Amino acid sequence: MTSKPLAISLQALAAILGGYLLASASTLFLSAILPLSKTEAVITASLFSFVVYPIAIIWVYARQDVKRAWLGMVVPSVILIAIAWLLSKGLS
Amino acid sequence: MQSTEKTPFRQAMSALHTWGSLIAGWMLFVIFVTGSIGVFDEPVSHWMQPERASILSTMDYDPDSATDRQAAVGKAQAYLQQVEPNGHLWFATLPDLEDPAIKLFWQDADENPHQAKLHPDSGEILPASMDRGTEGGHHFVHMHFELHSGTLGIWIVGFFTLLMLVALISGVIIHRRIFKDFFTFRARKGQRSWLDAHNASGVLTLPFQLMIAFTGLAVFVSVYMPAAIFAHYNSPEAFFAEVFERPAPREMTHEAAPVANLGQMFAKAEQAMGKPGQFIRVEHPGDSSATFTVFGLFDAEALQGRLVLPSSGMAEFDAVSSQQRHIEAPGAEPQGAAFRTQRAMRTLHFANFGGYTVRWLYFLLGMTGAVMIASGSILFMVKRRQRALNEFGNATPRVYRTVDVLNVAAISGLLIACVGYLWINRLLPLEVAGRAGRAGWEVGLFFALWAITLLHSALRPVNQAWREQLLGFAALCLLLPFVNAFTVGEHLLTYLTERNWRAAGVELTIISFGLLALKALQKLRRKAAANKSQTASVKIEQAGVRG
Amino acid sequence: MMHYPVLTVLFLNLLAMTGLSLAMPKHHQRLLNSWLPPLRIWLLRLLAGLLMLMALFVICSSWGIAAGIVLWLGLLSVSAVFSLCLLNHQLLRTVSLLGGLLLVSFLFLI
Repeated sequence: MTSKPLAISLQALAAILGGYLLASASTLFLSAILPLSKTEAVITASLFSFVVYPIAIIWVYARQDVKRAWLGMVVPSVILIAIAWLLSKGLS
Repeated sequence: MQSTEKTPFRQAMSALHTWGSLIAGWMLFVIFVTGSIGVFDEPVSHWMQPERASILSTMDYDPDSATDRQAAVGKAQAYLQQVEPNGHLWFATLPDLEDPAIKLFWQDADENPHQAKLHPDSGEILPASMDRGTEGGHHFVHMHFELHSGTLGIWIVGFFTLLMLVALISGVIIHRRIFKDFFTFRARKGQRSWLDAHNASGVLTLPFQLMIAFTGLAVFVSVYMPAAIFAHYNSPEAFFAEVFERPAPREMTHEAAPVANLGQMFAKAEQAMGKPGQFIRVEHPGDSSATFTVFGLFDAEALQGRLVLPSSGMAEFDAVSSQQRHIEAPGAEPQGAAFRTQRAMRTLHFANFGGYTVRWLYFLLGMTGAVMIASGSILFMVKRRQRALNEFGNATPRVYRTVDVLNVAAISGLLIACVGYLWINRLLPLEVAGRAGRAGWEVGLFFALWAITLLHSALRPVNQAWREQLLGFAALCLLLPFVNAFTVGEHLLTYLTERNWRAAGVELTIISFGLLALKALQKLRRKAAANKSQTASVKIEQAGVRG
Repeated sequence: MMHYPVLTVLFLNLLAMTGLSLAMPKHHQRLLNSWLPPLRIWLLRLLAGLLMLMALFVICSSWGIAAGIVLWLGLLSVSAVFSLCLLNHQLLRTVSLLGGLLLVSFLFLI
């Protein structure tokens, strides 16, 4: 078992950094799939990240499990970024 | 917080709300108070610039005359050509009846900012006797969105705004009697009253608090969340050029070429737009890639009630050859639902869509937000003074003491610094170590005064610190009219007879804050007298816990 | 003229909020010193709802739908805070004062 201050820091980092990662990934993903003009898709996706980010933070603290919290942030982010990347390769 | 049995989820949210808000509270209070004062930046600047009236009454310049405007552009060019012929950027605002100076802003080749003000008739730097060097009300706006520290400050404010959103959401989750307690405030009940005040100020203004936090993030969306922009565009500038349907900025060629006559181009621009210009911009003057842009007059009155503001008009030229590059007709609407949404959020946050009605509404709601934040931070300690929770083991008393010290300095200390800033404006000599430095001195002294309140709260017992700082704040508010009268000879009577409503409004608002502070002080005194015996017993109890 | 509807809307919302607070047994008991029959709860709520709708209509007809809704929500919050403060003081006297002010502000609309 890790020490308490370390666990608290890891959880906070999962919320702040992991949350930002997930918000950015959702932005990349949405801007790639939204059937809008390029600027419109980018603006919509970027604004939506401010909904994703707070919810991600709430989720991390609702879990109360640092390992799961990190996984919950990183795994979906990687998947979303990968899809966005593949779409951009395929379309251009 | 209300109920005794808690699900693990609610318990987790309660902890997140308590600790997240404790950390964010001090900074959020600063952001809310300076933002609320910032909606009145124009009247505050007006109060802080009593010398402006002397230019207005003597100048020949007429903002409605096209020849005068063209001449003013020529004066701006003549000055900038001499001072910074190869700068990164020139920017100028033409005189109007509110601020009668030609306001110059430029960046040197290393992008360091500089500014100056010219007399509208002579085109020479305004002497201190005509223009008090001050940031005026903009100081509060800058504190609000960047804490006077540039991009880093924007990020810090954004981070705390995010915590605000998290605190609002978690607060709603843990508060399960929202509708039952809707109008509940139990006075004179200690901890209970603080909780009621915190809940009521938050719940009753929740739509505003959510809106202001979200739109605050949306204003700087391209700074905070640039991932998609970088994925789809070479640079943010390219993205903005496409969004605004304007030509992308040109890269520097590093071939020297003189800037042509800006006054003539300005006249052409006004003709093309069919309306007066207000702002001009030259990008990398002295380079053959230089561009000259004219922005049309922004008419707030005509746009009242509109959230998606149409273009004020804009014309861009090659600054060397005087060829027109682009024209944007005034009244052109932003296109695209998402872009329009973002523009509407911007207008909503800036509170400039409905004159003083909307400004007062935002001021009241913003201050209620500040009350919510402050009462939350105070509640944290009130609760723990009743019964220490020992979250930090042996370090607990030290942590509590730190929270107390920071609460006093962030809440009453900031208030002192804000009204003290107006005292500094009146008391600092007009000429201090170079003209450009006076505005900087004012802001520096604002921070110095704030630091003194922190020192004071660190040295005094917490209850005395609250009382002394509140007394200080009340005194600063209520004596300000006298300082104003003695230094520049203006007071409420002159304001009212001259129909100077804005300056009168500023002073009356400050006086009412002083009276409110006196009222709060009276309550604190009464409570201190009643609680004397009780605190003694708590102290013994705490000593027992520590030992 | 644009500013006068704002006062009207503020007072309409204030009355609505006062109605809503009177529809709560706790406050009703304390302020009017009488028992609150269930029917009256719903009547008060209905009245408050109508007042709010009227306020929304008045403000949207002069400010447009978008800015109107924003202002309406803001004024609703301000009046909620204000009526909370009033609840701790002598309510009925204040309500009649506000009613009078509302009528006066209607005069500006004509």
